[in-house]
Order: sequence, then C-alpha cells, then structure tokens
Amino acid sequence: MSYNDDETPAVCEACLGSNPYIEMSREKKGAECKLCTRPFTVFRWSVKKGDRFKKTLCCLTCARAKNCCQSCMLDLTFGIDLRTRDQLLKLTEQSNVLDLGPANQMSKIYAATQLEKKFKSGGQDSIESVEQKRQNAYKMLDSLSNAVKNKKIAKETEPEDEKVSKEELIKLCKHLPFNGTLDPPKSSKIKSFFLFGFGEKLAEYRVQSYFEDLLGDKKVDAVSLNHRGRFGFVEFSSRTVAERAATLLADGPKTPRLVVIDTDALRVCWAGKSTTPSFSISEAAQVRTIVKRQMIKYAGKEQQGHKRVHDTAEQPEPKKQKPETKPSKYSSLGQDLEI
Amino acid sequence: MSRRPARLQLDPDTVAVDSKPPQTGEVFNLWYSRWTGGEFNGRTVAHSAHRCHPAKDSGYTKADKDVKPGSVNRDKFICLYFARGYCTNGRKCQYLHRLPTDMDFFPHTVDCFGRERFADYRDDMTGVGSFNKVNKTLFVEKFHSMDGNIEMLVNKNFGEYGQVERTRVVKSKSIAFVTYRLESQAQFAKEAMYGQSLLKENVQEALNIKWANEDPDPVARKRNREDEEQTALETATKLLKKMEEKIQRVKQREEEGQHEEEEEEQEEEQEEEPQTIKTLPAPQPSSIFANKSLDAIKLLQKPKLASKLGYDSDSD
Repeated sequence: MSYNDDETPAVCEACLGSNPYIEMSREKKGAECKLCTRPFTVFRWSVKKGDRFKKTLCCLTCARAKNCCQSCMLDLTFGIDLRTRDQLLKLTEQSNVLDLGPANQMSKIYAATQLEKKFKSGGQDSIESVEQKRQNAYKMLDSLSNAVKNKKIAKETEPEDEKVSKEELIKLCKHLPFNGTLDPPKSSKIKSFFLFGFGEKLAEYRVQSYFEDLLGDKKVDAVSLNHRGRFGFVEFSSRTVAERAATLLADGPKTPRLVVIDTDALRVCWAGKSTTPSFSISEAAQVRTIVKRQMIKYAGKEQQGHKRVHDTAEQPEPKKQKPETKPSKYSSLGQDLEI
Repeated sequence: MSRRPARLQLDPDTVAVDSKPPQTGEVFNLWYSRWTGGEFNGRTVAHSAHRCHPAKDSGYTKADKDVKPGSVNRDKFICLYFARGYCTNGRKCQYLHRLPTDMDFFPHTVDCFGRERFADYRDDMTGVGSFNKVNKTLFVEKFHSMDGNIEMLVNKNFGEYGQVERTRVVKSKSIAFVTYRLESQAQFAKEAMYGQSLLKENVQEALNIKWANEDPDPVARKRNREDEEQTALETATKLLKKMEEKIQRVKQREEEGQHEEEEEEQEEEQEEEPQTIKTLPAPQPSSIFANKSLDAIKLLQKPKLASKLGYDSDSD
C-alpha cells in the first residue's frame, strides 16, 4: 500500500459490502475533511444497486492518524466508534488522555499537514504490516479482557449531610408530606403521588413504566424527580386513576409505602398539594438530609411493627431493607473470558 | 409496533405553493425555509403551526416494507417532516413514521433523520450536532412563564417523544435541561419540540431547543463519566464475546477438518486457519489486515488481470 490520497480510499469491509467489484466515482478536492477541514478526494459508491450512496467523509491522513474507516469513521481494527475506543485505551492504560486535538481551524490544518508530511516521508516502512497490526490488536484485546475482569462498579458515595435548623425544617416540610399515607386526601384536585428516598440514578421513565405496569394502562401523565433532593412527584391523568393506583399499592400500616423500582428503594404516598413546590440547590440538599432521616425512621418503625406482629407466631421476618449492593454486571463473565 | 398505516399529518391540497413561516428576518432562505437577516438575524423562534403526535400519527409507511417488526433497522431513517408534524405523504412516505427505538441502528456519522453530523457543534449549539460526543441532553429556553407545575409540564411534553431520564428546570433563568435514554430520542425531540408550546392554547410561546453543553456540576460530571465508562465496558465485553465465538468456530472447524481430512472438501476452511490459534483469530472488520478493500479496487482498475488472478491474489 502506497501513501496516495487520490488512488484508493481506506474503508472497512462493512462499508464496501460483499461484492468485490464496485463502481466508484472519484472527485478530487470534492469536499472538506470533517476532521481537519482541508479539501480531499471524495469517493462515492453504492453497496447495492439503488441504495443510498456511501462516500468518504475524512481525508486519508486523518483516517490513518485515527486508524478509522474513511466512510463510517469506526475503528478499523475493532469496528467500534473512536470515542469508545479511546475510552477503552484509557481503561487499559495504553494511553492516558482522551485525544481532543486542536480546536482551532488553522491549527487543525497545520497539524494535519505535518502529519501528512510525516506519513509521506516515512514511505512504505512507516505503514504497519498486517502482522504488526494483528499483534497489536491481540495485545489490546488481552489487556481489555483484564480490564473488564478487574473493573468493579464503584459504590455510590453519599454526599455529606447538610445541617438543618428546626425552623427551616418546618418551612421545607410544609410542602412535602413526609408523613403522608395512601388514603385519598380531601382535596379532589390532587391527582399526584409524592415519592422520596430513591438514589442518584433512578430514571424518570422507569418510575413512569412502574406505575403504568401497576395500572396496566398508559395513564401516567408526568414524572418529575429532584435527584438533588431525593424526592419527586408522579402525576396521573385523573383523580380516579390516582385512587385506583393508591388502592393497588396500599397495604398494612399507615405510612408511606415502600416500593422497589429497579434496585432503588423509595416510599410513596399522596401529594399534599396540587402544585409542586420548587427548591433552590441548597434547599434541595437540606431536603435530602430530611429524606434520609425519614427513610431510616420508617425502616426502624416497620421492623418493630413486624416484630410485634410475628412475636406470637414465629420468629421475626427479616425486613426488606434497601438492597445493599447492586449486583456486579461482570461477575458472570469471569468464566467465558478465558482467552 | 401496531400494524396500521401512518396518518396523513397535513393535506397537501391545503398547502399554498409559496407558503412561508411568519416573518422573523429580512431575507427568506428557500433552502432551509428560514428567515435570516434583520435585527435578530432570524434567531427569533416562531410558534410552529403543526405538531407531531406520535400516539395517533405514527404507523407504517413505504419504508416499513424493508424493516420487519422485531428486526434491527439498519438502513432506514425517520421522516424529518413527521417529527415536525407536517409530512404530506402519510403512508406513502419513503421514510419511517414512528419514534426511534432500541431496534434502530443509526450510524454515528448521521442523525436519526439521516442528516450528516459534524466534528464540532455550531457556536450557538443548534443544528444537527457532533459525532465526536454522545449527547442525550437538550437545552430548552424561551419559556413564556415559569409558574405552576412547570417540571411536570416539561416532563409531560418531552416525554411524548422518548424515554426521559431526568428533567431539570432552572426557574431563575427560565431554562430547562431534558436528558433522554437514547441519543436518537433526543435528536427526534429536538426537532419535534422546536417552536412548540407547553400548553396547546399558548400560541405566544415558542420554545427554542439546542444541544446542552457538558454539565459543570461535579456530581453530574462524575455520573456522566461513570456512564461513559460503563458503555465502553459493555462494548468491550460484546467485542470479547464476539471474539470468543469466533475462536470456538475456528476450533470446531479444525476438529471437523481432522475428521474429514481425506475427503478434501475443506479447501476454504483450511485456508482460513490462522497460524496462531492459541492467541486469537483476526478481528471482525479485517480489512486493514487483509487489505482486501485495496485489492478490490486495484483489481477494478485492471479488470483483465482480475479475471486471471481472482480475488485473493496480491497483484503487486
């Protein structure tokens, strides 16, 4: 392979398709390279007759510098996108920075020209042979499998508690029914639930799909979670739907009901008002502290309650606490990774 | 997906030939159907007359002939006009009339509508976006009022177009951030919510939507970094699994080869036997190893040679 911009594009097999005979059109200085903004030779072809035309998007120099296909911009060796590849290289400690390159147009052009000079002067020898590339790929994959094996999911670290004075506490809790129940409130305007105690990563669509599964109907209007304050609201399409959800959920003591959504434990009760309050960042942090206290309080209470109920019958059941650790996603992979 | 035809969003007969959006600049750009120039240089957003309602509008079109339900879609794109709520083709449209899902595979050089993406964002963070970054977060501005259950309203409106992971409303600045589960959902919602209002009757409101910059909050930064690492690791495990399958296939072939050595049928398989079986076989897109692509083109240039030499030969 010689270094010539005009003769052959460097594209991957997936882009070329299965047919070894392809008709390509070549346009010299046909477009500006998407990476270095210099003009380059554009090749166009279609894999199947009548299909969309594929074309090269970046110049050969950029493609070679990044080891990517000129058309799909995926890594030539592994077929993954460059960002992920760089991330993996970082994980395997083969390079420590995510390569950003120059941001300014002039410096982009300058860097690319320098690279091109280097590649051209290197000639045939500077191009890695097939064997070399294969060896490098093996090395990378080996260290990758090690990295995957060793990688442990970091535990969620709880942010520090804020100090809350009593006055502030009363002011904040006025809007948030931490002692609410699942008994329908008097005001018929209220058609939403109050949630609290979930973790940092609970997604709103998960909460929505949980309640929709519960109702067996797409009648959840909106979910809004304040992840800083660890509280949120679910709004149903009508009061009757909300009441039905409450009856489906309600059981046992008159405390907010414990619900587990996607390994996240949280408590649910009726919202106190039809409008949801809003908090500043510092206020949200204070609410978080209250949420934490309440979660501990209810956990303790329910444990006692369980004891009282089961005292005469059998030994006390262990209470369903917050799932302590998320199951590691890669523990199962240990066996099938022996490469 | 339900098997019903896509609804016609806008009757073509009702569209005037020279219809233009409300004038917000001095010069009308025919290509982009936007006003430019003037005091605000066309940056004013006009309330959109149409809106996409996925629940009633989506359905099969001509594009679905090739995309069977349940299979991964690799070459069809979503209709941009459908997302904006004014596709006049209905079920005769050559593009998909539905929300992007997990089953869609869009190359990262284009967005879910098939428009080419760029290396960098525009300076004002509008437009198609960048292929160098996976951005699932939209920046929303130009709210008319921040009263009432604004978080709920934002979630309800943006939830129509995909699975919303988190919404954050900054009341003091009248802006909001909406994060989706998939990047394609964010791309769709960006087009669908542009120039819309949170309440149907509020014609004064026209939301402007841009791509969000990286969240400077340290907690969010950490979360994003972890997410990114997680997805990278997932791709790595997928990659490794693929390799393993390949190794097993090679081993199987080897065994078969030993059994049927006398029959001399496995010419191809024996050719493909790698020299170092104990380490790893060649990874999937092996073009750079084999340089088949280059050979193919060389052969193209010398068609007579090609027929003589065949595909595998190294002509130079």
